[in-house]
Amino acid sequence: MLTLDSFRKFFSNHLILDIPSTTFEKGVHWVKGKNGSGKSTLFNCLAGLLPYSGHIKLEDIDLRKSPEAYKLKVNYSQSEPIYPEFLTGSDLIQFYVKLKKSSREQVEELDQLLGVSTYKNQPCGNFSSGMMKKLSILLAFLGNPEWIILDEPLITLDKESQIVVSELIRSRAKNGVSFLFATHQDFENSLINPDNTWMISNQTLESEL
Amino acid sequence: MNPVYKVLNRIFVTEFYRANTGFFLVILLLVFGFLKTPEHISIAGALAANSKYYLVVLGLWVLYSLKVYQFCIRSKKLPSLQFVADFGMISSINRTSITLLLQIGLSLPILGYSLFLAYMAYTTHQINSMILVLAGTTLITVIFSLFLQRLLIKPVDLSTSSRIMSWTGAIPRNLSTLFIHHLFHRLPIPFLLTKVFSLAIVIGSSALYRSTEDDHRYLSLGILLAIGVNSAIAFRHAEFKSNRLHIFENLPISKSKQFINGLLTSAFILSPEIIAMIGNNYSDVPITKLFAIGLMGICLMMLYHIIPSTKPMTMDNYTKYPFFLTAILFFVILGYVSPIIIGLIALLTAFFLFVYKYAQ
Repeated sequence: MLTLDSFRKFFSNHLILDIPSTTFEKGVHWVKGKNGSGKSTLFNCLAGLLPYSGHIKLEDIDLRKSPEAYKLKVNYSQSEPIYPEFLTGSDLIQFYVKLKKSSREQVEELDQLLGVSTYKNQPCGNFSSGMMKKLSILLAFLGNPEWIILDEPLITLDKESQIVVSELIRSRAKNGVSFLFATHQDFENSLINPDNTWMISNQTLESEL
Repeated sequence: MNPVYKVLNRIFVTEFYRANTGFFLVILLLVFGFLKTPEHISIAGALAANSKYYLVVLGLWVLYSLKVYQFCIRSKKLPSLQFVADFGMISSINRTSITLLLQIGLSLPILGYSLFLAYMAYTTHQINSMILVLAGTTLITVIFSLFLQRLLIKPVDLSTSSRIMSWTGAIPRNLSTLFIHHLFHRLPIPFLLTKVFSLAIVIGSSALYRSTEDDHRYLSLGILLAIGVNSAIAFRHAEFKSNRLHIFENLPISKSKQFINGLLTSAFILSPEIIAMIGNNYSDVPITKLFAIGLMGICLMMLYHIIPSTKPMTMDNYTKYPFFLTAILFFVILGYVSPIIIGLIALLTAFFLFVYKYAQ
């Protein structure tokens, strides 16, 4: 399980989030909230991209004390990913393969599923937002994560890719991988059934179920 | 090659040299343009005679390393480099060796010159000096590689502004001042260094003017060189407009108003130099003459800003334009051409290039 304890996030002196204590049990979690409520900030902190005060733990692994062990088990895809325009998709995939201890077979499998292989040797500067999104989702599924955090995983993707990504999430969830989502799209008629939904409002996070 | 090293090397080392081409060009000109090889050897030999002199060199190496570190901090705050924080996932031995290699790559100029100094000390049998420069350079490299490692794995807020910048709230926020805010918040150190350097040129030219018999050309040359130093900021201005304010081109603002906004921004950027020039000379030089030189500066600054807006170019490609224009105008000013004429030609050229850009 993923726990937050005395978690607070400020930008300059402005309080963005204040979460006294929350636990995400294993499963699929849908985090809702209005624009600017702090969903992406929460995810960026959970992924270790932004500094915060308080504690974030995966089981007994504290993100601040053992970032290596934590990040090996928690993968992340941002809502609007951007990478240096001069790096190719392959550069980034190789970078992540090494860090996430992934394998060539896994890359090939995800490559084929998401159709990244057709453009991965081009510089990121040439990618459309959908191509960038697919690359970012591929990177989030590399290695053997226990949790995958996906911020707006379906935006900018075409219908076909949305189904592929939804299927991918469903199959990984069946295999025991937990997910944290933020999306404005309704899951009611989708392939993904969240176990729990959360709402961020008034700078804090509350379970809806 | 290790893929992690390959990516980080491309992001930090290659980009550092690309971004600082102009800086290295100036250093090369200063170091090798004005001093011949025998003079270098004589200076290095004289420095080696007393190991304390090499402490000054090591002080310069620390300043260089701070410049490198500042670049890395700035790069790390880019949204596109947030993923670099995942570098913390590899073992500390791998991390340490990769950051040391990166730091060596970033410090190549000082490492090379240190070897030259060590060799000079060795040939003059100044073993203490040789040990000092080698040990000092190694220590600086290792210490800054540890700082770099900490920086790479540490999560950072993308919108961090230092406390010293709080006064910028007093600057109005409109189209012509947005870039000024950007300079203070995102590029404070390069901006400060540029201003220190260009102000030194303006003050130096004023001192030269006073030592001659009322030759105004020194003041014009001072402003010309100061604008050359500021050309990197003019490039950043164009880059800022095309990257961050691109959507503003959709706003219903007339071409002439946009041009005037650019001109106002150039005036804001160059205001410290113009104020310093007027402040140093208003008692000796007619105020109209000083304003004419100041206007020449603003128009040239505008031209330097418009050049990279006309077509996509890197800083590397851009550097040649201000370099050659400064060199040509240097002789034009020496030929007693009035600064107001130079300013008018620069302004008209800038305007035509601006219109040409729109026509595209």
